[in-house]
Amino acid sequence: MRPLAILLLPFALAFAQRPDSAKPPIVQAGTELAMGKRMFDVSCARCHGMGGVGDLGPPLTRAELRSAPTDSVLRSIIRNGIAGTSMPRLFYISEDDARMIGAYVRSLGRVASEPVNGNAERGGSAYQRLGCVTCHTMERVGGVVGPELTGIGLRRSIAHLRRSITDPGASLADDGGIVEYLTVRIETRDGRSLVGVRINEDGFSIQLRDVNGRFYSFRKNALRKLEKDFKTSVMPSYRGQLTERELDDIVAYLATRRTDK
Amino acid sequence: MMKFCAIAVLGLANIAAAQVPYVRLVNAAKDSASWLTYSGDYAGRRYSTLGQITPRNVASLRVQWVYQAEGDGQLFFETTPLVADGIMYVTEAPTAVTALDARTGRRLWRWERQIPRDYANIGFPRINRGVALLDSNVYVGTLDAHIFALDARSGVVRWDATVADYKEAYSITMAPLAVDGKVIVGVSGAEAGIRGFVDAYDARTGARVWRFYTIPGPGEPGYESWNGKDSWKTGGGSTWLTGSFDPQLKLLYWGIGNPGPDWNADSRPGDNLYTCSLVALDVETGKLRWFFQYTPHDTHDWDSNQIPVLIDATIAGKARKLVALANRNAFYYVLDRVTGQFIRGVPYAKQTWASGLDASGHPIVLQGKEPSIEGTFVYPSLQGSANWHSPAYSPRTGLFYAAVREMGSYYYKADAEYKPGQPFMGGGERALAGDSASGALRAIEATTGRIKWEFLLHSPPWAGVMATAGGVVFSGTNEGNFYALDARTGAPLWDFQTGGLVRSGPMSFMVDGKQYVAVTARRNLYVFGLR
Repeated sequence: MRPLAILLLPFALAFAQRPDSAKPPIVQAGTELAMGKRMFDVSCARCHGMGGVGDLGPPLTRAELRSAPTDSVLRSIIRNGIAGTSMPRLFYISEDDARMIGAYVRSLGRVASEPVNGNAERGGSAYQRLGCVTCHTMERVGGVVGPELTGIGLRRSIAHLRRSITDPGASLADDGGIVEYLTVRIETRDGRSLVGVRINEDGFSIQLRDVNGRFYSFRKNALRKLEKDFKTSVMPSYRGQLTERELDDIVAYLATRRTDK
Repeated sequence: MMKFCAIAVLGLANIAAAQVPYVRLVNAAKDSASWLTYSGDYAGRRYSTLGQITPRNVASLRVQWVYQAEGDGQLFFETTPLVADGIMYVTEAPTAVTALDARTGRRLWRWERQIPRDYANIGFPRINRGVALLDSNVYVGTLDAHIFALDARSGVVRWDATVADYKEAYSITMAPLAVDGKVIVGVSGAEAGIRGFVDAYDARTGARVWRFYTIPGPGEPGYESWNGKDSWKTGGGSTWLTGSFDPQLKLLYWGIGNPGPDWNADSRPGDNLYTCSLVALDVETGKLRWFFQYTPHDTHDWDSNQIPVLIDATIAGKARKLVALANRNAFYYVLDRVTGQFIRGVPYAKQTWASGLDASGHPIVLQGKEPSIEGTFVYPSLQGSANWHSPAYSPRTGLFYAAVREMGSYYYKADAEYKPGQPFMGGGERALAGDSASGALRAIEATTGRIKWEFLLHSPPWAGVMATAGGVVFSGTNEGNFYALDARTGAPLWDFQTGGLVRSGPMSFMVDGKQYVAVTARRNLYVFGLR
């Protein structure tokens, strides 16, 4: 269809524009968590990936696991598998082993509670005042342009939350996975242009939503241009817009949202 | 009334007798209405000689019928259906065989194996990739490492042979290969320290005729490539995909998997023969005729089980019998299939582990690419540039079509301790997936390895490729697209959203003079035909 020399270029660009950021989780040696990690690496990582990032099996880097709502169910799944799926029964794993593996699995999707500098109550007021609610849903209220923030304190560290506010582009998908809320610029062959957030994509089509929440669907062969911006978020940076104290307060508010209800 | 019954009975008899003698398998390429063996023919080409569907009319393909696999759809549906005389044979995960009316999709019979509760799949999902047909039997391997002969008319069991002990992690997911009077089968399990083999069973009785161990034992040639203490006993070398066969040379070509433990090679210094190799075996005796090792002393789990494609072509003015293979290690290789002599090898995907191949085809390995405690980033990923999903070869275009995975991984090294039936891998992988990874369907000039064209894919594919005499190439995507390209140019001609991951190899067949194309997606089997 096209000569190879040209075709290797898109790969090069794709690699250049993505941060090389998949990092192994750090676990302190000698702890039960480290023992859980070690057993996870031997028996689980083949399918779930090192650090539970997912591969043939689903990712485990989530605060809530659909099949394992409680720790006892999680332990049972680790030992007995899930009938009707490829998750095997691992007869050699003891109840105690399963407890340590389970604790490690939980640690992959949940960040530990950290001390906060700011005042969460003042942060909540700032969250309302700044209009974060326009784009984000928190505990069932708010917009859908950006990610839902219910329970965000379970999933994101304080450092990540702070960076998301001051440098939103830098915190787009730091796990090497599919970049959520990716900004896409397109131009159609009939001359229309649009900037939107990617909702879904395959080799033949792409689905977008604009800042007003309006949905668009395009066949790729109808596009003249399709640019993905892996460095810029549609969310504006609040660097310089907030005082240090306001920033601490909002981070404190977000970090203490630790129920996924 | 009597006359009507007689006709009805006659009709039933016609669709019920699937007589597939060996000679029909040898001539499968001429039997264009059927799809008689996993890769379509013994040469492993996944090429349909049907020509009704062309670049001109492929856009009017429509779904003709759909079959939904049993179960809740949580298991992959990786079968390649076989079709003989109007009957389609599919396997369903974890281990079931279903016969369908190829015209309507209505079920004729179903056979299911209950998998023991203490069976553990280590290193692969619970799947089955298809059956073999020979005479009036259907042959299927099971997760718990049996091989069954079923009567093609009813699914009743004719014999059952135990291939190996599943409690030691031996398992079968591949479609067996039926040859003259024998059924050839390989095993999975190198992530749990098995000693791999290829087996031949008497097609009529189920008695084992021969076994070729992929890891040589003491006193056998190749044993010296296992320098660690007893490392050969747990050396892996699975044989988990269907091989190819040259009926004239009477040679089987079988790809061999990774050494064990996968990522920690401290216990197995040496080349670790015949892991990550292609072996040519005498079909009568199972004796090794030649081997070619693609990746000596592998530490990245780059199995060489990919489908070997047998190609007859002219190189430098001389007619050659070739075997081509797009390897998991990112290189495309052409060998002489009579002698095993290396002819050509070039990368067909991004790789960062070798600076190239030397004159004998051995990789010139770069330093610092071994798995490490802190993780070593290497292309391709553990799942490789190719994996189990089949390539295709069209003798009309001379092109080898490969669905290529472009993804890198951090490779980790850890301790490995062998315990029977337990994971024995010595590390792991963390793939740079999502938007960092991609895929392509590449058309490779079969004799030179030069890439003629490519069609970019959104993510690293798990779908095989089929080429047809009509000049169309079919494949699928993880996002659920089933698509057709022009075999000569790569131009996209048609695509269809199936609604689920396409993770199987397409095939084609004919009923009542009409060409159909079939592929699975998630739990559904779609059959397409021209409107």
